[in-house]
Amino acid sequence: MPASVQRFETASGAHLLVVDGSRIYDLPPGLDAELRSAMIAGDTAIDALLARYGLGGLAHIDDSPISDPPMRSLSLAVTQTCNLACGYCYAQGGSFGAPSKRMEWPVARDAVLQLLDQAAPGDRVNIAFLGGEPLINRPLIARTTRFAATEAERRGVGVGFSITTNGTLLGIEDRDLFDEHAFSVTVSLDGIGEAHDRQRPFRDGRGSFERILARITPLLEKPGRMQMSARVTVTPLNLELRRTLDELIGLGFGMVGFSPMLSSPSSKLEMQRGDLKTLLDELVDCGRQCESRISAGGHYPFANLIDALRELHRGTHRPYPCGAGAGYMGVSAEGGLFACHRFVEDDAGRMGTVTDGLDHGRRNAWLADRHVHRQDPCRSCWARYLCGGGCHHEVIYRGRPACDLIRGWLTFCLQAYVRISDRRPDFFAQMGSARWIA
Amino acid sequence: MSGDKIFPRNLTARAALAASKVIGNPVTTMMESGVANCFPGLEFDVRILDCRFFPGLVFQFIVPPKYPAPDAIPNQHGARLLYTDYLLDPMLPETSREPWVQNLLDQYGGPLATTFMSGRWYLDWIEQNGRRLPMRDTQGNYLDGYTVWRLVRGLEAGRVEIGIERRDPPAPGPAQVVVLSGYRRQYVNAAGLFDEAFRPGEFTQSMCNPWTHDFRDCACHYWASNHPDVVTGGPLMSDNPSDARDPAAAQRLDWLRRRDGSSEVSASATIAENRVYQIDHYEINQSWEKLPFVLEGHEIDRPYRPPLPKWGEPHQDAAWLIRELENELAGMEMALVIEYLYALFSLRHPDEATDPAWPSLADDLRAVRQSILMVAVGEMTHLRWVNQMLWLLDRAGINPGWHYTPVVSWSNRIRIADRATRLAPLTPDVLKDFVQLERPSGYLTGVYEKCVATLKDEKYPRAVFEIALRIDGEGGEHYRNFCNVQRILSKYPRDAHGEYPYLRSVTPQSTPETRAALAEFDAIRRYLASAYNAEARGDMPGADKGITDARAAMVRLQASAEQLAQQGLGIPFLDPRS
Repeated sequence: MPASVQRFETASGAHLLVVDGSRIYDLPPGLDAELRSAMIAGDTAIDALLARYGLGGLAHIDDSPISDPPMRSLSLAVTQTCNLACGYCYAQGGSFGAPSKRMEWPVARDAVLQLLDQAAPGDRVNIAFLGGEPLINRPLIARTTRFAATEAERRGVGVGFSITTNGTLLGIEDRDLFDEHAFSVTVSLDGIGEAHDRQRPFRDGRGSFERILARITPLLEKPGRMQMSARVTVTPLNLELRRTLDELIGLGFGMVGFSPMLSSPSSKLEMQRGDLKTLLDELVDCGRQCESRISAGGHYPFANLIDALRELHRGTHRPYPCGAGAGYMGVSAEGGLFACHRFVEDDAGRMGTVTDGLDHGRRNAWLADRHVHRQDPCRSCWARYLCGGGCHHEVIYRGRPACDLIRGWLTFCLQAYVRISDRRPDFFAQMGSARWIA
Repeated sequence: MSGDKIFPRNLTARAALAASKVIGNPVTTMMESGVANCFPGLEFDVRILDCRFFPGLVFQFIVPPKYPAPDAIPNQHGARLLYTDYLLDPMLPETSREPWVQNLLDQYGGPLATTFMSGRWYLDWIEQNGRRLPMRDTQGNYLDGYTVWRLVRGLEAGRVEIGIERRDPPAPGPAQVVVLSGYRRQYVNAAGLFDEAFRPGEFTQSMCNPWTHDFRDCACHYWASNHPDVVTGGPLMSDNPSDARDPAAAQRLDWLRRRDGSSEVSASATIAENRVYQIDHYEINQSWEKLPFVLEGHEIDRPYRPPLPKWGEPHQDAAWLIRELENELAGMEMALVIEYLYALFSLRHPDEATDPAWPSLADDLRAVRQSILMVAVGEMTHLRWVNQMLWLLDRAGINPGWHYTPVVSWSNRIRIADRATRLAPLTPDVLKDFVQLERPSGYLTGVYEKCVATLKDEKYPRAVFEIALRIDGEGGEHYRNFCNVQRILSKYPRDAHGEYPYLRSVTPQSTPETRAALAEFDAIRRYLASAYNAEARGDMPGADKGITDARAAMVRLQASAEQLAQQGLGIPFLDPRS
């Protein structure tokens, strides 16, 4: 497998992803033949070919890690406790394996100030409320939001808010705050009815779906400025993606996305090789539906494909899978700074506190260590700048069981991108606007 | 697949292609990537950016002189505070709720207003992220201006604290240091535009010499900032028409001429001839800022104000408007076409200009004939527009009971000049009459003012109003063309026989040849009438055919008119037809 290009085909012919810069080209037949011989001959021949056709040049990404990037996004674990008992939870019932805690106001305030202090006027930052179940600490969310909004406005900084909730406590009482501050609200739902209840029961074992549905329906009917999304954790028990997707869209969610369960503290419900193969088939099935709806001029809020199309169109290329430890950090209830929300209370991702500030040494060591060029087998994979090496948390605790899934899915996305850009060039033109998905 | 090319699909692929095939202005025309993106720069002096690195203050970076005068004041180098300039600093709005802004404003407007007025104040240290950089070396010697500049340039965005020391203390004792706290200026905004704190001229005040020298001598293609060679003298037509009465106002001037009053004469035809009257290298260094801005080919010496529209008195109703268009304006346009064409053919062909006494005559005739032809074509366009106004009015049912018929005949009188339509060779008097006719706000455009005023009423179709406005606005171009012709021909006096060297001896005559040409002219009018009729009905293929036929006939007429004129035969355009 060559590390610098990936060739793929659609009905309109052969195409090339040049890994450096995530550039996508159509290949004329002559060049395609040359490329195929070069691919047999090896990387040197491919690089020479790229140079000859003016597709080479200086690498967009080198080996040097970023250091001390400004913080742009924080998630606050406003509670480290939860009223659900999902079998696969990375936070082990919300507590991250530690006693239950609630965040106090001084911690939240310091976290907000820490974030805003690193922003210049005109910058934009994001504050996410997570848990445990964040709405257990509703008053702190309200107070923190108002404080951050006022303080950000005073400094000329833009601020966005988001919350990830299990939905059991979400309700009409949250509408005013979430609407006023245009919250992006993600509800964790693993299916409809029984499918959901199997994976996400209350602590006493009762199913949670009916309760959630009753609470979120008024918000879905009148979301106002809120953006309501559903996030589905896929385990071997809920692999019927297409049905789940259509049902959740039917409930009124503005966006629905799937993430496979690859690593859980108890190893419960983790996806195995055969499950991942099924998952790919299911994702592609959803993708085809989404593609045909978009091609026909419509819309279908399947987050996995739409996000991928946006990234492919931009040619996103990055040496990290996400902003964890870079522009993004998770704050624990007691004010610890961690690489992301999944590393809360985990020494592997500890990076200082909101009161004493960042531990620059640990953070820069993390960034150096997590660079995709330092990952094996990523450095020789064509998908490395699109995937970034995979979720740090999953890689550290489970390894990389899903590489074939990622490459398979990206190949479908590349083909879909070419087809959609032929049929609906306007679709990508709209992506510049903030609410293009609406 | 897109043909035989490597087709870039996504944005990074397109950007990579754009980088190899530049479309539009090259990136080197942008300030930040200019020819010399280090100081002092060829487009601007980047050091100036840092003179205002701290809100409200202006510093100058001074290097020690190479050959200091023995009695010079010591320690002049470093970053010297020139003055405070905080009233219009966009970082320091009076309404700001930021404590640091209010604090700085209090200090600048309060104690520092007088403190900085006496003595020599220099940047003594800067502090950022807990690190303080002194502006002295380890022995305590002051750093030179360029070193200080590099340190300032290296500051990160964000909070910064500075100490400013007075180097000439009025009395012995501890050094007087003012400490200020604020934010480092971000020199450009998100759109890449310079912060508004920088004043016009600041970036170029310390420009290197080659820039100005090249501006003098470089051909127009290398620098993005190219310049005009010649400009039209006098103010803009539309700026103040009363200033433009003298046709000499339309003379061509060399833009780089020495502006000492001695060279306000027309530019010569060659670079070498003009060169001696142009400012030299040393002069452009001293006074390049005196070169005026040029707008529409005119030098302007004051802010340009677009002219206000002039509204005449409207016609009393649509019937009057239509009568004016049918009976006066269309006929007038056709009469002018005839007069201008006749005058055109009265001029010698450049090939006939063989008199060695007038070596430039052939070139001048080429230019003059082209100018007159352009005006005649302009009048033909006006004739079409008047017809178009009429058929649009008909289509809109503006005057019930009336219907459009094409007008392609001429008026026997040019009412506005109060004379009969005539066929006359282009003598200076006739030319003067044409200039007078076409003068802006003189006769010609004036007649459309009444139409424009009438059509302003919303009951008329907007398109008709716009056509009237366009005709009304076109007089200036015709006027300038005739002024040009006048200027060029003025250097050719009558010869011993009373003849002008550029004129043929032509009189209108009725011969079989001229009658054939006349028939061709009448055919052109018929073709035009049929084209207008077709277009009025929306029959575009029919309109196309009429126009194509008319155009072919015009080419034939031009050839025969030229030939006849060489024999002294003028076409009797105005003869009554059977």
